[in-house]
Amino acid sequence: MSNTTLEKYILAVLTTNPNRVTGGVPIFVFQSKEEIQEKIGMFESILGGMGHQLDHEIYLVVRH
Amino acid sequence: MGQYTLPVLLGILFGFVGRVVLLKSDYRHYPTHPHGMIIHLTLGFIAASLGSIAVPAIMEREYTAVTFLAVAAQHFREVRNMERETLTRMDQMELVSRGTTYIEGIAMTFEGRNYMAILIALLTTVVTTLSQRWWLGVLVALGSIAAALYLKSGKELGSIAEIRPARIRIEGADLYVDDIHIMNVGLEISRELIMKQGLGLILKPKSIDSVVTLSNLGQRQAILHDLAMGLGVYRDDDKPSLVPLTRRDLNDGRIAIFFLPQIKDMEEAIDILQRVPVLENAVRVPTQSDAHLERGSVHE
Repeated sequence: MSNTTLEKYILAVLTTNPNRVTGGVPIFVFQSKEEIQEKIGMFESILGGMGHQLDHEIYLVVRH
Repeated sequence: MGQYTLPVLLGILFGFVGRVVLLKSDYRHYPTHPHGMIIHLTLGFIAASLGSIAVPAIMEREYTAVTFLAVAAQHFREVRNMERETLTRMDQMELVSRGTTYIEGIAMTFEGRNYMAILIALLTTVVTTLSQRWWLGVLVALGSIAAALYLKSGKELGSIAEIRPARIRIEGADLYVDDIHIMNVGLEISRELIMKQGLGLILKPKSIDSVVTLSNLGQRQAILHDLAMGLGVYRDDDKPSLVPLTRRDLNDGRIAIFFLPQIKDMEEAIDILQRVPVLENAVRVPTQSDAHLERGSVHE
């Protein structure tokens, strides 16, 4: 990776409850936790970030 | 020049032999061969020549010859830069990087060993010239090579820390090695993979000094890199959740190592860790500070 990559940056938020997330971050709303688990691996690969689970509704993809 | 021929030849020969002996490529495969080796052997030969030729020059009262050695020092500083640059560039392409502290350490070693070649050559030539006995020169040369071999080996991790296997567990989304928190893993597949393939180890520092040394991020990266060299690494560029990590217990300075190896073998992992070099640049000895010495060993 080049040195210009942003560090410690939230790349995307995946959630089942959009009411709890706002702001200038791409937010993806899913129907269920299982659906998030299905997709978050793809998000990791595409964005080169790591998936973290904040609680049962909110997942973050963060570049470290 | 006749009287100096043998001393100079002996100096060059043993200086070069000294460099060859100190040039060791091991499982980390550095320096690479053949070309990395050729570069360093040639430089070693040049270093040995510089060291031994300086002696007759000074004996003939050509004192400006000392500047010659200054040029040599300048030249070998370049060696350090060259190594640093190469390693830093290569580091970007490693799945588990060496880290800058490790790279500086390696670069420093290469520079230092060229100076060793100069010194061995210088000493050999001086002794042979002054004593007029070739065997005395050979003896001194062998002695100094032995001394160089003895001095070159730094400390290893096994001598400053106790290394023991530890259990990996996942609570909710949080990954722990023993009781030390490593990270939050959001992806369930990754959690399963971690439980299946992960290795956990704990380093327990043996003294206050080693607590500080082990806390160094460069030292910790070097540990991970050596593990990856020895056991392979179970991840690819797009799998950040499988990245090996070290975390530190703030209370007692223990280091938890989390690692996904290609070859899962705990005994070999411990063996590798025992031999990880303690980086010169990471070593700290707070117990040697004046403040500590004046207060006695209250904190020990």
